[in-house]
Amino acid sequence: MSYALSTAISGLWREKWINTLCTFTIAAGLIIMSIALLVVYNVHMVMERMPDRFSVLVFLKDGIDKRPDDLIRNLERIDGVKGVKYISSDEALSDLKAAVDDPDLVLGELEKNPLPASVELRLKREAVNDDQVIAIAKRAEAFEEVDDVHYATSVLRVIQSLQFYAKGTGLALVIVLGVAVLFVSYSTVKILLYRKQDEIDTLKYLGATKGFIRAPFLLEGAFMGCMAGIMALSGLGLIYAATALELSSSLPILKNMEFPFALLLSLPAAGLAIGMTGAHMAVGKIRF
Amino acid sequence: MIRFENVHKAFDTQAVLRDLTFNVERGEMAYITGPSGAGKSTLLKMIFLEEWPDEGDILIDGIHIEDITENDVPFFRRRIGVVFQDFRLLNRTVFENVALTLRIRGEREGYIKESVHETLKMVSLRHKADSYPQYLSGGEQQRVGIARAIIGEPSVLLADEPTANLDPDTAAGIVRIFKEINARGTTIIHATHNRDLFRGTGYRVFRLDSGHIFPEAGL
Repeated sequence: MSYALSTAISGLWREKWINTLCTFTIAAGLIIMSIALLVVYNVHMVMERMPDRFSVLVFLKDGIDKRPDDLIRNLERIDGVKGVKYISSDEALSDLKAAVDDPDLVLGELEKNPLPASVELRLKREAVNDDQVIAIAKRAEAFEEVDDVHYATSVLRVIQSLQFYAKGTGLALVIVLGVAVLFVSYSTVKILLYRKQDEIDTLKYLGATKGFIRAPFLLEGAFMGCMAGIMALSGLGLIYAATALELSSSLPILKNMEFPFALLLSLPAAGLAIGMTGAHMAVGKIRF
Repeated sequence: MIRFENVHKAFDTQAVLRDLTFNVERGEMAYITGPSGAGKSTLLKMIFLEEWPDEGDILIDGIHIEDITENDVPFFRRRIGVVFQDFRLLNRTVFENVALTLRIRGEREGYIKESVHETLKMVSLRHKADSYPQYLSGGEQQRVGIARAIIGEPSVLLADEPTANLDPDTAAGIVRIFKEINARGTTIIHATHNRDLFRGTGYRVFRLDSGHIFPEAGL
């Protein structure tokens, strides 16, 4: 082991320029990969929260002023409904007044409250999809007290497309970049291997085992990968400081961005694994 | 010690060794000679398992090479020391080059240090232990190669044109070292095209020509 370590250290020093270049390239790859991972993570978090904010509004016919307990019970029993909230026409009007800037100007002329009473249906997470929302809406519409059913079709579509494309594309990007980073590590060690082919042959003739020959290359790959991981972590820290903290005032969307520090702390370990795997692939099958 | 029986070796369709049968006794020093391309290096490579015969049997130190698995090859090679024409020294100090043979075997540092200095003394290079190969003469580099080959106390020492790049006086010095090693009981097979090296020595000589082997006397 001490031989492998000393050979790896001297190898890293002797080929310092190409090794530094390789480390920077792996670090850049890890940064891009982590950004893609951050996008996937944040999309995932948005997707997690969106179904909780999705609701189906059941508008009641005019003239129903009292809380329709029977209807509410029936609506609660519909498959996929998590909870219901009755909103009287007075509550609806006060909500509307609270939502507009100058309620007296907009709503002051009204002689009577035009808003109907309604029941807001909160759905279970798994029910927030095209088919089930339509089914729930149809069942709600069938009750005689119900005048109309509304739900945010566009929100539903956004949820579905996010689920379908963003997550898949993001993960594909992470995989592609991961392979690219692996390839960089592989190529560098392969170049070193070509340069050291005579040395490897000599070791073979002296009776070195495959493990003895391979160990210094794996250590070099592991060291470069780990250093690249540390550099990527520092780089991401700077990017986070620049975006989430500095730009969030001008781009409010960044305020909600989540930065999974615990996950990113594993970057040096990921770099180490990538470096070692690349080196292992580059050394390949040693034949005697 | 080393026995070739009806060994045949070809590269693509070109036969290099044809129906080779000969043997070298334990403790013997034998020369393999012949013109360039006669197959001397291929013959030596088959002894240290760099090449394998297409047909025939090779017995080395009581082991049929066909019984050796790929995983056994490194351990088998530790029984054999090889000296190359181009020295094949690594870009490390003389000490480290010679110590490498023992490091591969996982020997203790104390034993390595003692053994390397003793072996370098034998090839008169103890004072060069901290030098790098590029600062040594051809003869000195070859002596480092010999020290590296013998430090593991191999039962067989193979030398593939070890003096081809050296002047006659230096070559004579290398041959003297081989004689000393042989006198300690190590079997040596020395491949060379330089007939002056074995003329008048009395050692057995095998001449390779067109893939066939012919015994000669080194008289």
